[in-house]
Amino acid sequence: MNKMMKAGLAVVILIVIAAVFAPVIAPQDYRKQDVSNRLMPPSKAHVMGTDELGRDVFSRLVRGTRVSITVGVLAVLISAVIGVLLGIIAGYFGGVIDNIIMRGVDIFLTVPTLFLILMLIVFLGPSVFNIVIIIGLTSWTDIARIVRAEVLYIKKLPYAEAAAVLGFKKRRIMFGHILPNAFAPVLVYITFGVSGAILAESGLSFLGLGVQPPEPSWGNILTSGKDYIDTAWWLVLYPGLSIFAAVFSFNLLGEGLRDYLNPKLDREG
Amino acid sequence: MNNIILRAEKINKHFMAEGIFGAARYKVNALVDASVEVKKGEILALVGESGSGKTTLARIISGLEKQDSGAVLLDRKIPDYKNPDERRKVQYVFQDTYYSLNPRMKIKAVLAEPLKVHFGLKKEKLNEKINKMLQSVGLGADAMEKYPHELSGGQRQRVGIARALSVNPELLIADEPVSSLDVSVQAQILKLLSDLNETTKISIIFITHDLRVVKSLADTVAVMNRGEIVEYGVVEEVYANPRSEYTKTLLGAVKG
Ligand SMILES: Nc1ncnc2c1ncn2[C@@H]1O[C@H](COP(=O)(O)OP(=O)(O)OP(=O)(O)O)[C@@H](O)[C@H]1O
Ligand SMILES: [Mg+2]
Repeated sequence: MNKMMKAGLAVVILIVIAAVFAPVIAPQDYRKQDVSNRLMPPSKAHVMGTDELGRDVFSRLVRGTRVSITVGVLAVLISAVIGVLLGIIAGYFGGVIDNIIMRGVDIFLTVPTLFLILMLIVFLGPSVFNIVIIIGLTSWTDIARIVRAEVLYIKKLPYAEAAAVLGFKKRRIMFGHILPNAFAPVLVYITFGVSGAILAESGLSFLGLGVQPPEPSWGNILTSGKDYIDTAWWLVLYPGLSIFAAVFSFNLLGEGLRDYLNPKLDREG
Repeated sequence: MNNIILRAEKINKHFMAEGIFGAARYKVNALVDASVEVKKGEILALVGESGSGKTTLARIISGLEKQDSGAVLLDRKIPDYKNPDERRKVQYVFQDTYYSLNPRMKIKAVLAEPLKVHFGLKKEKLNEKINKMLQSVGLGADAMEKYPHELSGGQRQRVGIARALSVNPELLIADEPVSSLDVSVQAQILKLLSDLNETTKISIIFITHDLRVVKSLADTVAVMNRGEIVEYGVVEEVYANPRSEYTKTLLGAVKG
């Protein structure tokens, strides 16, 4: 593990702890309004200041961590499950099945993902559930292609062929022998994917189509803060930093994992 | 002749090879009317230079590849490799000792899997059998807890052989099983195969480039050239009295 990866991992762990223990960490109720104390700059009582309704920005950010990370992780897990399944089926069976799946991928690729997400959210409405499902359902194509390529290679390796000659069932070969050896790139992808999904949610919030207030996400805190950017910089700076730190550290972790897992596999070989 | 385990009859196989730098694809005749047979307890050696079709023939016999025409007969009938009991009769030992074992599985798991799948062995019975198998290929019980990369090439090949034998095959195909190993280790693995053949009467198809090994190990030999079997017979006879020019050249290269 290199230093950058360790730094990324440390921040990711911090973020996850904040998300899990949000109610304990937040000094105040993230919903509590106090109009007499609106738009107060950072102070002892409110380390990151207050917003236009007098709510504690730090508490809202901590709560938003939970929402943003949940959206990011769940969306990626959905896309990973779909992508891994379709990728392994396409790669292992090949032929017509592969053709059908890969044409499906091509169709998805011709439509810009963000556009597709926007359309679906406009139709279905921007609930957390819908956002997770929609981001998840629209971003499996990369992982499907990565897994398919891995499977095409691994299924020709002697241990996979030995499994076939030993008479193991296809399912056993796919999930017991091929998938575990194709998992390194999946893990890397998942890590990058979380930051992608967090960014996607922030982008949606910017268009008013992300997680809806009063439920705070980093994206919608930043978006509502931008109206006060001249007078209350803290409303923009802290959520912006949070998004940046999360995206940056997940990407560092992903890059680190990529370097860490690849040479290891080569070393074993 | 009722002790013929395997018969391959007039096997033909072609591949479409990619032209270099986008040149047109062209047809490679990997096998042309190739026929061999193996009796119970017999070792057949397949020899011939690189690209002569040895691996292709072995893969077709083992079901890893489909022939264009011709028939593979196992115990006098076309095997149904979807049937586990027919599938286990032909097993394969690979040249690449590292990738022949799943890098994420301990040796114990590698050997346990076929025993569970085919014979439903469990717990003590399973452990007992794994131990016996390790012993039969000259490995200690300490190998069980190791991953493939913790073993030497020779040890890994022993595991590969044990795995193949675990399902009680009638025919073992060993495709250049020692060519990736150190010379000193090669002899040990060859001795192991020869001993196993003596004690269990398992039939073996042994692919090699080394004509000296053929003489010491095999009963019969098929010399391949460009997909054709150009010489086929009992080893001593072929060596004493080669008929094809190609075989003479090969043998000449060994003696000279
Ligand atoms: N999957 C494949 N696709 C295209 N061509 C192939 C394929 N497999 C084998 N061939 C070709 O078929 C011919 C026979 O190959 P094969 O591997 O059977 O030879 P071999 O005798 O085992 O050679 P070696 O001693 O190098 O292992 C070669 O020309 C090879 O390039
Ligand atoms: Mg070969």
